[in-house]
Amino acid sequence: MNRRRGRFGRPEIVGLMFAAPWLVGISIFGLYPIVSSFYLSLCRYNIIRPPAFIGIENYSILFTEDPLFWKSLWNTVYLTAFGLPVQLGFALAAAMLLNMKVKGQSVFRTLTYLPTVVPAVATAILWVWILNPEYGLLNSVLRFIGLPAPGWLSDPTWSKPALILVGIWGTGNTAIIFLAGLQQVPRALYEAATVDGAGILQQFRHVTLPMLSPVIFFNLVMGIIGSFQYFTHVYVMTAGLGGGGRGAGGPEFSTLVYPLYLYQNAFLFFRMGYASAMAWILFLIVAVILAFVFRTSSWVHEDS
Amino acid sequence: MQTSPNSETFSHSAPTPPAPRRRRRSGFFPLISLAALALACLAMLAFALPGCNRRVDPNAPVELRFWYAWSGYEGKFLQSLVDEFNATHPHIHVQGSFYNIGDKLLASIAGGSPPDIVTVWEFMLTTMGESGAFFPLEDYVTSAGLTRDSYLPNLYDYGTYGKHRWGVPSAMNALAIFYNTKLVRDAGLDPAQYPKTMAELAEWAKKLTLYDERGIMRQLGFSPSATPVYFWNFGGNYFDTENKRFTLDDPGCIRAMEWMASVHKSSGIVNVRRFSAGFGKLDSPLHPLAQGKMALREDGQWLIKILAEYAPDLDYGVFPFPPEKAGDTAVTRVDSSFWAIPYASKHPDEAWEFLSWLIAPEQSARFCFALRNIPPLHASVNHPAFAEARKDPRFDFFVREVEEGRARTQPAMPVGQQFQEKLEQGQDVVWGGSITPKAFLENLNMDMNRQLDRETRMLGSGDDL
Repeated sequence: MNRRRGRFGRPEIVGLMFAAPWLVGISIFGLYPIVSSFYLSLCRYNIIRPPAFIGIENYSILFTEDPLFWKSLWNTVYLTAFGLPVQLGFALAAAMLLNMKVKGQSVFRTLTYLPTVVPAVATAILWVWILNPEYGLLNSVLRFIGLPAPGWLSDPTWSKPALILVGIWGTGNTAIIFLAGLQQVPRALYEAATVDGAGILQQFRHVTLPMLSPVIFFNLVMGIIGSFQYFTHVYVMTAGLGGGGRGAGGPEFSTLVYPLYLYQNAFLFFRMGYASAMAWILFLIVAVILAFVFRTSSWVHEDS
Repeated sequence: MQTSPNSETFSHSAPTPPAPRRRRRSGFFPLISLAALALACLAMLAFALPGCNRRVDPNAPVELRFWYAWSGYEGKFLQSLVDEFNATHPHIHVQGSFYNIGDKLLASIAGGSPPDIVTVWEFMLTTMGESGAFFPLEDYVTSAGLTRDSYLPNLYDYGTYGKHRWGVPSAMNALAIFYNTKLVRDAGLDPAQYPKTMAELAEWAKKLTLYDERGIMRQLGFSPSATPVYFWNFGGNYFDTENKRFTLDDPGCIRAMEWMASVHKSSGIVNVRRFSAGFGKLDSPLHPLAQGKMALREDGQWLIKILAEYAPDLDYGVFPFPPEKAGDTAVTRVDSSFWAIPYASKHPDEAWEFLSWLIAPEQSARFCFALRNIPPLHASVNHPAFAEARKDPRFDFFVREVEEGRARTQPAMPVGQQFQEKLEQGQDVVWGGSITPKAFLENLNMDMNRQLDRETRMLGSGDDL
């Protein structure tokens, strides 16, 4: 073989060959579905028949005719806007406690992380029982201390708070990342702050938070993305007895999150084009929100 | 990789330092090679796949794949029927397997290798059939000698939309109202004098709903949810099969939903929901009727078998849905899953040969007896193999409801699943009180007719298949 025939040198070829499995994989299983989902979002497509091009009709139906689109978007925004701060706050508090030098520290760390190891579906089923309004653990405790026991997942006013509560259970990952961040904060800064007469709260406000801000930022971004994809728990916890996602999203559509409605359109109603359009709108929404978050990230302390 | 700072470091190992021009171009090479590799991969797949389907021996029996949706005892019984067929039909070999109705069928159709016979829900049948997923069965059914008179009343057209029959019903369930005798008596009511009008039924529901002294519900009277049955019994018709339009704004439908809403309201919907959330699984000893948590409950005759197994001592009975006004004839609903032959099946004739054996009076009677379901043919319900089931008067009551024409099926419609989902979830909003039954039904009607129009536009008239 004439080496000069090639338009680029041997190391590049070898490099590309090594990267080839990945390149092929990402183009077949990543790039191609993404591009085709955009095309399908401009089509009416039910899998069985070939897609029929209809322009932006799916998008215009979503925006003008479909109240459930707005309802599901609102549910997802609600869970993000109220759930994410609670979860981040809880994870941060847990991380700070775990960062304290106490006896059995590693045991507490393991316990905090443990729920994350449990599969999402198992967690969901477990919580269905905890939240059971009649026999659930949570309501038994509430009744015992004399508080009102809400209907949780069976009550449209309480169903979303219930989901947020379940979300706290899964914050082990976030807490571990916070913990790693906390351990990066130089002790000298706290010592200096103590010398300057700063109390615990002031230390938290002026040392911990700024030094931790890149980690908070990271968790915030990942949290927003994760929250907009939130699906498994609702799918399992609110599904009717029929299974397969039928009847999920209740009561009164109060837990019909965006990805669940997308799923129903795709796999229950066979409206793949419509579901693809929903997926692209979701992508744009997340992109815009993240662009905003990045734009306003001046609070992130850079030189850590 | 193509950004300059990195390729600068990379180029150290290159034999000759690249010229600037060359470096600028190198950005395209990954793309070219990527495309070439992807093509090569696809080509390999394309050559490899057809080999899988090669038939070796022309005299070997035709292999059919049969996906059914029953597991456990029912699945085993169906499999025994399959084995029996295989033993008596040497030219066909059916391989049965259980599957969860849903995505898997769609994926197999999209992938071009669906099973040859498949079980689908009522609601999927027309949507998928009209899209071309299934083989039309009207000619097969006619050639098998099945006529309107072979079927129990109202069932001949079940599964037919327009001119095509997309499937045949497998084993049916009819609805009625079960009552817990003790709870009914405790409330001072006489089960023999069961409600004869919807107003009386609402009255019973109210009397049978009990709260404790702290205001916590301890017994639920009745929670109506089989909406079509109420539509019909209030004289409402929600789908015009002839013109293929939804007519949910029919005054009868509105009255029916107002009645349902009033029952939920008088029991206290918030309490109903949280109380029902505590119900155990329906196919277990925790069934709310057996547990004494519910006094009346709409359910299918399959429950008789469940109760015999899990609550053998329970004293219960069954009465039919009442009409709106005394003296009118009331109806109930009968429904079924369907057996269909996917269009892409390579052996539709053999698939029908198996299917027609399976739905023949004897097999159908045996299968439905095992499941305590109702077979769709006169010859099956009167078959000796089904006689044992009918000895139980409560079970026989359900059979007679269908046999004597007091049971109707949901009309076939190409947006059935969507209708079902939006009705079930949406009526929940009505019970909650944030929308009136009338407004809800009018909105749903408009929405569903729009979906129907779009679907029809996409599918054509269904005649071009």
